[in-house]
Amino acid sequence: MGDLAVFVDQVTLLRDWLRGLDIAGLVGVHVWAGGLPTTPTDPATPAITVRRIPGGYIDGPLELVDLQFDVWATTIPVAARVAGALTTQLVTCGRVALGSIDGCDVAFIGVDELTLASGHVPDLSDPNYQRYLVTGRGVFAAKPTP
Amino acid sequence: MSEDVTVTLNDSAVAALLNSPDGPIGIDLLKRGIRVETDVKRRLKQTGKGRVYEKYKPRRTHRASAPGDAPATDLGHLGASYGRALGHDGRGLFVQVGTGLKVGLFLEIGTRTIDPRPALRPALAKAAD
Repeated sequence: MGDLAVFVDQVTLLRDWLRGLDIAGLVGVHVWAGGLPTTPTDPATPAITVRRIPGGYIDGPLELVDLQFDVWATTIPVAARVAGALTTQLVTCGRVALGSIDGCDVAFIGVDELTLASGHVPDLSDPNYQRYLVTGRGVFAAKPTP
Repeated sequence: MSEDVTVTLNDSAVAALLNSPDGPIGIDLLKRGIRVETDVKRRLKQTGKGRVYEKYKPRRTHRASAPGDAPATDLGHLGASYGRALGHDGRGLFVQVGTGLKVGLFLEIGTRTIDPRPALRPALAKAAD
């Protein structure tokens, strides 16, 4: 049987992979799926949050998923540095086996460079946090675990 | 038998094609911008699936959007604020679609405490697909 596109929760697998990379040598394991944790109320930074946003489609064995990454830091230069390192990682990673979920082996094939956008956006809700936004279309492949 | 063919581009005509807002590229860009703008406004008009609020001045009941969905219209200010414009910079013609309201940006991308409610990016992605 060839590759199959299967709806799985890629975001938590992506989070786990990013946690192992220690992006920019600064982030360590502070990568979260969804938003920043609410407890403690001042989570460690720099940190990255990743979430799925509406959009994307399935193309044969591939699922193209629109992703929003937020880099959180206390200063703009640190946020920019982490965002730069994250972007490089997303574009140059090649095919990465993320692991198995729901009976499927899931691989991340990177973010389509043409869809990448990033920029500094202050956060209205908390002036102590600086934020760099990185969005792009991630490409995933999934096939049933043998 | 072979023949040499020389093609000479008319530089000023090419420049006009690439840079004139009234040329075919400018018109096509504007059409795409209108398509995205229309799609955003359509998304904003959908009924929310989130929490219900009693609001005043004027008194009304508003069902907000659920996280991940486009913002649900209340009085319609956000939808009315979206527009598009054809522009030109050092790289040539471009069309921009957006809103001047800050709330539009923060609904689109969320904040530290509010989940994103994207309307513009899905519309852009749909236009590109």
